[in-house]
Amino acid sequence: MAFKYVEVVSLAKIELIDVWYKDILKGINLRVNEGVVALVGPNGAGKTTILKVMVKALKPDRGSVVIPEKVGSSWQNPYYSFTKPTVLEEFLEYLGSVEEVEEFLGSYGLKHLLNRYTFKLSVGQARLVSILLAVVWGPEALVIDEPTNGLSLRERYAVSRLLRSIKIPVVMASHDLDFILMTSDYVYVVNDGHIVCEGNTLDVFYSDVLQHIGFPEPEVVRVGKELGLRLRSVDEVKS
Amino acid sequence: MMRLRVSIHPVTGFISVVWVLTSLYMGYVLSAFVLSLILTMLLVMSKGVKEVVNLLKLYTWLVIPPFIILTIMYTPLEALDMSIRLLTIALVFTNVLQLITPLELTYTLMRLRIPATASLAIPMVIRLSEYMGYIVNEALIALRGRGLRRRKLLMSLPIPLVVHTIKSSTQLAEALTQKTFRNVNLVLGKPKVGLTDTLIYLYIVLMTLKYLLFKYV
Repeated sequence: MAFKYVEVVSLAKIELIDVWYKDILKGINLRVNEGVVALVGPNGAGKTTILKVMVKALKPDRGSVVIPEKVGSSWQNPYYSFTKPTVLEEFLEYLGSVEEVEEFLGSYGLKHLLNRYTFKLSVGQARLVSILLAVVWGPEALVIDEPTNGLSLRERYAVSRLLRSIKIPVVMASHDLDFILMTSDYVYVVNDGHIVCEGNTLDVFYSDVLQHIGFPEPEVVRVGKELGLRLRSVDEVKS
Repeated sequence: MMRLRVSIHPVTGFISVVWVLTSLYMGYVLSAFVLSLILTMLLVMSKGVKEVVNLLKLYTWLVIPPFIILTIMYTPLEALDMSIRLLTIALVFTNVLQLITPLELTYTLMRLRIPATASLAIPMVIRLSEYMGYIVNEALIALRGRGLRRRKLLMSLPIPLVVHTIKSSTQLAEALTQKTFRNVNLVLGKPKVGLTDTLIYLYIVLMTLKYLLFKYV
């Protein structure tokens, strides 16, 4: 089957069906409807390539890609997203007035960054601003590559809270297991261009799939096992 | 897949370029084209088939428009002749630049009494052009990710690129100072004439002898 993109205007979801790209992606099947979905896997597994296919930066050799018309994205180097000298000016372009920008940044606890120079922000702050810039123009889905690279513990919590508060589907690629456990609802485990496992974050973390591809057991899971406890996801608690 | 590390001496590269341009000027198109193909084969051995095929695809698009225009204006034979000349020049320059090791080129330029900074800057600019292409692509994707399209995208693109270039040039300068590149013996390897160079020289000498024989005997 030849490759084709399918643009879905009103339905906010992403779907990759049997996607092949060179020798990097080997028949990827993936579906994102809502919440935060994580792609986890070792370096060179194909996570970033999957994200690039989702934003049409790469054209697969084979398969189908269903994507919304507008997909926001934030990449490993957050500074590439900046085009204005200050944070205020970056957001004024979309929100119109200073008050609105203040309100918008305030709602994510970032009002203090309003008058800071964009290119002088710390990596963590730049990452947060870059994610908000990817959200502010009203995309129907968000794609984020390695959101925790170079972040302090406090900044990781801030990024996690930010991603949890976004109302559109989010797909992120990371190999930071603690961050994924903290943030994502659903996990796809990618290894050598294949999806080797998928499922609820806790189910995947309690299985030994991650250890099979070279990850250590997440600290929270290890401690939980030692105490004979199992964490419960929000869905499990609700049901 | 294992690849052979094939490189050529900077002087061999320089002689190849001069010989190809002279041959084209004198009208020996086929010989010049064959040398450019030999260099392409060496590049295939060094970089792998895929990368070279991508390059050739790009050059096909470089050659097709002039071929069509010249066919309409003159004859298909003349158009073919011009297209092969164009392809030969493009191939010989690319292959030579890719086959010369940057540090060996630096060493050779320094032997020619060119200041150390300039000697290092020239190969670095040549090599970093590929990296800059990658950076441009990354910046484009990032700006598209925040909703910029068409004219706005192109107008905004230089800003992160310029900032990135300034930042990385400072880091690069610091790294080079740490490596004390002015001490030639410490960093640079003296280029050696290898089997590939000998083969290229042999081809050039044989072809030149052939020209001379045809012309004067």
